[in-house]
This record gives sequence, C-alpha cells and structure tokens, in this order.
Amino acid sequence: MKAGISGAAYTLERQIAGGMDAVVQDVIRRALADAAIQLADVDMVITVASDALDGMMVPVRSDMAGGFGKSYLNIPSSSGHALMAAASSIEAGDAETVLLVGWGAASKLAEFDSRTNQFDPFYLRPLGASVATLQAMQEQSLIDQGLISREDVESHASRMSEIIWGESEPATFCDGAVAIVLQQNAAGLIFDHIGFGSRAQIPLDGNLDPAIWVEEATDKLENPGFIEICGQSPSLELRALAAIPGAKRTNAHGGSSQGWFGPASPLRNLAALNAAVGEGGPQSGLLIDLAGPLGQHVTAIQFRAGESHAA
Amino acid sequence: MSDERGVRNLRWQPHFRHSAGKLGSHFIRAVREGKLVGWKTQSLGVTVPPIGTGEAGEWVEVGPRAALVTYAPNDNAGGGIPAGKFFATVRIDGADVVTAALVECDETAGLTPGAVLTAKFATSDDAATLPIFELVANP
Repeated sequence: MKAGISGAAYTLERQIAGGMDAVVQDVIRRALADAAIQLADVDMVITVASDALDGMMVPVRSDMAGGFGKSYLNIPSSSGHALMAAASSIEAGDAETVLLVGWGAASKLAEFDSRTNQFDPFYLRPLGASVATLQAMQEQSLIDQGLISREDVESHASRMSEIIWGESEPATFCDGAVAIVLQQNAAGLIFDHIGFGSRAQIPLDGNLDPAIWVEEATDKLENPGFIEICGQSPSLELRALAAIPGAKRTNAHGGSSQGWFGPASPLRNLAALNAAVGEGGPQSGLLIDLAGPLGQHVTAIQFRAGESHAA
Repeated sequence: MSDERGVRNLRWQPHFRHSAGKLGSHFIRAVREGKLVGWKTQSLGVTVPPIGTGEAGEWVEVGPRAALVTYAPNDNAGGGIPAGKFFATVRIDGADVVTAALVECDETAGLTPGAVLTAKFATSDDAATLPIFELVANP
C-alpha cells in the first residue's frame, strides 16, 4: 500500500519574529485540519530539524511537533530521508498515520556561524571549508567545464526568488515551518517510488557535477513531465535540472535555494505541490531533494495525484 | 556575570588533543619532514591524505607537483579563507584521488583547471597537516 499526503500546511517568511514553537504548532494544526483528523489519530511523528544552534534537544523537538507518547523519529539530514522513513513506516504497516514536521530559523542562525549548520547536517567537509566555500568551488567547477554560466545562475536565482517572494532580488536565508500528514489511501499526492543516492565528503574523483548524482537516483524512474528540484544553491539546482531531459515544467514552486530555512525546506515545496495538484496542477511528477553542501545526498520522489486530487 | 533575566553569560574554550590515527600520524610526520606520501590500497588506489579502507596497503611517495582541479573564488566563498589563498582541489602527482588544499596565488587568472602547482612546506612545528600549493611559473 503506497503512502500519500492527506493534509499539509506551511509558513515561509523572510524572518519570523519570536520563537518557532508557536509557528510549528500552527502549521501542525492546519495540516491536521486539512487531513480532517486530530493529533490523537497520529501514531508516528517524524521531525526534520538539524539546526543544532536552536538549542533544541530531540525530546524538545518531539514535544514541539506533537510527538509525546507516540512513535518518534528525528531525521536531521534531509527532507527526502524523512519522507522515505515516513513512507516506509506506512508501507510496512508500522504506522497508519504519520505526522512529518520540519522547521528552521535560518535567518537568525545560519549566518551566525560560518559552519552554517542549517546548510549542512552531514558535517562532512574538509577542514577549513565552510559550506559557502564548497558551493563557490562547485559553481566555479561547473563554469570551468562550460556546464553553466554565471549569468544563467543569476537568472535562475531571480526566477526562483520571483516565484517564492514575488521579487527577483536573490534571497538570503529565511525562516519556515511545514507539517505534512501521510496515510495509506491518502487523497493527495501518492508516492509511487523514492530513489536515493549519497556520497560522503568531496567525491574522490573531484567531479562536483550534481547532474551525475541525480541521473543515478532517477535512472529507474519514468520521465515525469513535471519536476521540482530543491537544492541549497542556485547553481546546483540549475545544473541538476539538466539531468532530466525533456522536462516540460520545472520548479513551478521555486525550488529551495531562494527559500532556504534548513534541511526541511523541500518539505515546503512538497506541501505547495500537494496544494497545486489539488487545484488541477500537474497530476504526476518528480520532486528531487539535493541535501548536503554540494547536493550530493539525492532523494528522488516520484508522485501522482491521489483519488480526490485526480483531475 | 548575570543579567537582569537571570541568564549567566559564560565562555567555554575547551582544548582538545587527539590522535590523528595510525595513517594520519604517519602522514603528518612526513609533511613536517617536507615529504608528501599517499596510502595505496586496491580499492581506492593512492589517497592523499591517506584513507583507511580496512585493506592492507602501502605508503608511496607522491608530489610535490600537482595539477589544479578547481578552486573557490574568494569573493563568493563566504569569507574565512586568508587573503592571497584559495580553497581548491588538486590532483597530486602520483595520487589517484583529489585532495582539498589551499593554493597561494596573487590573482585568479592563473587558476585554470590543470594548472601546474608545487607544494610549499611550512617549517613550524605547528604547521598545518597539508602543505600550501603555489603555481609553477614555467612548468
């Protein structure tokens, strides 16, 4: 039995004033209402929040996300990994209803520390290299190989920013929270297949091209038509799009690089996608989460519209 | 010192000493003596710094020449890299994998993929675990 979305909600702002707890609880309330269930109906809670700098220990995250007394899992690495865990739990029959919650306050925390924990839950970087350093090196490598140009990257960033914020000025870190309810026989997006691939640290062959990693994770998937690619930098998103030839509609929800609040950011795209499909948007497609500073941790999520969403 | 909310501001500056491991220690000692060595295994070939795979392996001398693979332009790299140096990946002569290292260079014009570099070893006991690389003027 495939897992799917029965309710979702998110909040995305340049900067959220005050603490995140009230914001997280608000999106949970809205997602549960969208699914027409109550917190008592949830039997597993999964969180995505690697922001070690928020000082929230795992039990606190659990309590914030409504996990008290339920099966609970914190996945700090990526939205894709958390979605895989949620979908696997449902498909295996371990849970009937999973509440997947992710948040981050990157506007306040990410630039505070050059390690930019919000960017890199894997901490697998050469000594002395920040996330920004690695991303600059990846972009230069792709430019040197003639795979992208700086102008194309700027254009992509402006276009994504326009979609997310309504203005083309490239964005910095922001704040956000997302809650998604997953169930069997869900009415919203159904997850048909989830592929993944990962590499630790800088690839030993020195090739930093994310298109190769995306090709590996998607080689068993059919051409989806609609694609949303969520990465941490615009150059990486832009190049990864090249791995899916023939894609007609891409990043209609703005990707993640211009709306980055931490590893949970692609859940925002998933929630937006679920809403769009319900309003007659694309009935099938592919969402790709590229986590890690170079996007070397790829999760490819193939979805289709559930019964009530089918046009 | 406490502030009016009863919050104490403390500074914690722990010092750490830990072993670099059997392979890492050998590599660091070699660098301090002005030599670059790689660890050769069947699965990965020659790795610099050494990567332990659990297999048997052997030390081989590599470098000091290297070829630039790519680098991070400092205007886009988030700060933290000293002026006149660039974070880069290089392929050291004799190695089968790339190595992340700093490259010293006045301007980026010479930093093209394949540019010939050579290792410049520091002399201090507190030297970094890798040499800095610099461009070879007439390779």
